[in-house]
Amino acid sequence: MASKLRIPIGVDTAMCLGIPMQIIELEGAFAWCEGRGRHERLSTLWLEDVAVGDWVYAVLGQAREKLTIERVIEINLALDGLTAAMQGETDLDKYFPDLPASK
Amino acid sequence: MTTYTDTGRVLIRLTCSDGQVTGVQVNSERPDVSQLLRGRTTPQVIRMVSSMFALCGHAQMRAAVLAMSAARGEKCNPSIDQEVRREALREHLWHCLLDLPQLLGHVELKQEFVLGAKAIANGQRDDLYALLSNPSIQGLRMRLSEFDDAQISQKLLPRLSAKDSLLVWPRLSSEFCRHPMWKGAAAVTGAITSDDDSATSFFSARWHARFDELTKWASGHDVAGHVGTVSAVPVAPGIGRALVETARGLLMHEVAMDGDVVADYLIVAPTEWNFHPQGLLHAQLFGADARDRDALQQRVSRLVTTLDPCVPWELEWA
Repeated sequence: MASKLRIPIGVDTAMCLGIPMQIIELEGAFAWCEGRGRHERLSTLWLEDVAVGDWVYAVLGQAREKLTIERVIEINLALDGLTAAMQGETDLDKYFPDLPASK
Repeated sequence: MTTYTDTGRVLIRLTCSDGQVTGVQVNSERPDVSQLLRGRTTPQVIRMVSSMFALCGHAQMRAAVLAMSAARGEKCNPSIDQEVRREALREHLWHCLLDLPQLLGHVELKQEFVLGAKAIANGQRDDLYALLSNPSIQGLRMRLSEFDDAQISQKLLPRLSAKDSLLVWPRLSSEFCRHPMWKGAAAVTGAITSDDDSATSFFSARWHARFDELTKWASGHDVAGHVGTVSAVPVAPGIGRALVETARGLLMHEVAMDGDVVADYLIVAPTEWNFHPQGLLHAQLFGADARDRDALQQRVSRLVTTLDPCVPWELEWA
């Protein structure tokens, strides 16, 4: 049997789910960003102006939207909740801290 | 402390023998967001959906709100949601001016994208119309016939209203969410699906349709049925369904409420239609010439980019 070769095509950490990332270096129409354990080079064509230190919503190798720090915290909590659910955690109330609790 | 989140992928595994593709496996792996939504209240679901979906975020939000309203008995006749439509059109613009040029060996039209995206965001239809008449963009469209290697052999999902969908799918299921079917077969959703399925080239039909959606908006066409169309219908007491036409195709949300709390939540995303194990990729690649692996890989890349998954994809040679 032939050996397997897996080839990631295009960007390597894209998703329909977005993740918040912080810009650490600008490079023309791209920015090197970090967030949620990832280090990625994102296109910044969607955004009019960006600066080192800005938080952006990253998806499919693109910085889609600038985020406030409050929004970053909110999105990270949602993604933490999703990760916990995928790992079989059943008590997910802590991922919905400021809303009326479910029954 | 935030953790790494696996956000899914499409995996295409090709088996080759005697210079031919003898096996095509297509597997879409995406996190099941609905498990996080069960047991939650309407405001919690809205907050969660708005926090997680960066692609088609407006479409996902609209689908969630409409589905939960439908569960309370409120229907929504098909209509254009301009915010959802503009979101989809910006996606089309990115694909047409940045992805398509790469497939054609053409320089990316970055400046045109920036101008066009701004025109769409600001509702400046005339500006977009002028941009689309640009010779460099017209030149791209002229070259679409260069890759007529993918004939349409697949059923095309028509644009449905939520009410129409009940006749075809009285209820959705988890299995349907993973492997949706139209009249017993896999089907392609998204641009081209509203027309007949006899066009000869999937590649050019798909890309022309994206350009056409942009031109229709720029020309002032606002009739329901285009990308950006939303609708919702009560399925049964406490159960609602919403349909939204996104850039990648049909998005469906179906929610069952137990009082004020979500008892079940089902999402059927366009990627599950377009990357069905028995879908277009399988039909196009099974039996294909595999003697030139680079050429085959380019063909796979062309097909996948044209179908446009909402997650990254990987090719594996078995």
